[in-house]
Amino acid sequence: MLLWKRRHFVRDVGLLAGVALAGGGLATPARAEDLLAAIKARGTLLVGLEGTYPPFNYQDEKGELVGFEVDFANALTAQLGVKPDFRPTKWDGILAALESGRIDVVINQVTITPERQKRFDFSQPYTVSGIQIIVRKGDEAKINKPADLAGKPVGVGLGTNYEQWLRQNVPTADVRTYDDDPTKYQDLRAGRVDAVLNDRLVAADFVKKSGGPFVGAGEPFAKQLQGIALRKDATFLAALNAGIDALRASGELEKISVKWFGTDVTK
Amino acid sequence: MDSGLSLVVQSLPFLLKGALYTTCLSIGSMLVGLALGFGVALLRLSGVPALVIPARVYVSFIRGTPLLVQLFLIYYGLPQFGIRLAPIPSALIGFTLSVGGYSSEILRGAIAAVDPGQWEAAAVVAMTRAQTLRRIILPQAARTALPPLGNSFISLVKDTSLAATIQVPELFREAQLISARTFEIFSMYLTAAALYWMLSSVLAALQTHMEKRANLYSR
Repeated sequence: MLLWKRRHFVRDVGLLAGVALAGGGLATPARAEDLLAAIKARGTLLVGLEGTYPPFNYQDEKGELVGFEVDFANALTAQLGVKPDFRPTKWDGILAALESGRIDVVINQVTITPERQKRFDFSQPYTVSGIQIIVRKGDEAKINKPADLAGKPVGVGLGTNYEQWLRQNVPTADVRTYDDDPTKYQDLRAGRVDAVLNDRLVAADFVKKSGGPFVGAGEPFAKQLQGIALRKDATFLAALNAGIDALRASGELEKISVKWFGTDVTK
Repeated sequence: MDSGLSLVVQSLPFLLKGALYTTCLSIGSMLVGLALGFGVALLRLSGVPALVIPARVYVSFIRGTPLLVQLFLIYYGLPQFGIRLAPIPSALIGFTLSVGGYSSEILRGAIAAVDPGQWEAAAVVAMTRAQTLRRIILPQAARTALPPLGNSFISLVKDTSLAATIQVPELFREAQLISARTFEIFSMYLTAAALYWMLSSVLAALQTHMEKRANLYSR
């Protein structure tokens, strides 16, 4: 501690400022038109997903990544003539990983919002969903529509469109943010939150599998479209959209949807 | 970087509010944890197996398991046994237990490091063990203990960021919330880092000051 001197502190702060400026410079994305060519040359598409989001993407009993989006990514990369390289990433860091080039796309139920579109390109939607309120069994008569959330502790994923929707539409709700699904449902079970907001498709699957303690309350609301997120790049975007078009035309996308949801959730 | 800078200015009130939580969590668990640590150190030095063994198990558990896991046990685990603590009490308990474990080892070491001859000399002038501890041993042990204690308190300030995972709206969580909303990742975490750095620098300065005071009469 005796080595700690004022002039060192001044120097270190200068150093930090330098690092900050350099960081700002590095944030410029790589040359856009090269990405598709680079992916084809590499032969793999780096796909960011959580891997903990059933039934979209999760590990099965054998530890293998499965789910609607895993099948979708496999079919889509086949269209592009490459193989998917799945990179499980926590949600709160997933868009940062995309921005920094650690992954090429995010296929993880990213809802298309104007804020996100300022930063990223989105493919055409490949699922259509809405927000579902999930409550403890027995509470569904009290809490079953957005207005019922006012003044109550409500759990949402950190940095999700559910967090954003809640803050904008029910400003009096006590917003609690969680890093993943298991922790928010644990707090719902423990009574620290009275409701959880999630994708209706996820909620239906989750309520069924949880076997009792939770129920989906009321009808889903606020229609949402989910697309593949990518760094801004018109060529790559066009290739992804063409791939999805082909999967729709061949009926493969619908087939995958029926396999996981029993119905077509892609339109 | 322009948008980053104005955003940092805009979000500063939120980050400062987070820093206030961080400061309160740190100071609260530091004070109670130090008292706990002192108690545990005395238990370990007592030489009575019924007291020494629980103290050793406690210290071993605290030092041998990740703080994050301890926090999850308290916050997410205890509700299964009907003990439902709010985020801030959970964090305070977790950090206090952690400080208690680490500081007890530091204090025990510092007390043990005082020459045993001092105990004998004090006994010769008919001081009781408690008197010897208070008048002779502790003032000397304090000098030995101060630098490592300062170290572990600075670690504590940084470790409080783990409370973000159990719903405490402290500094790191605020930075996470803002960067998730705005995608300003680098500038937001850099600002949080700068605030942590400032907090620990204040502690480091305080430590230097206390060390000087403790050494005033030593030579």
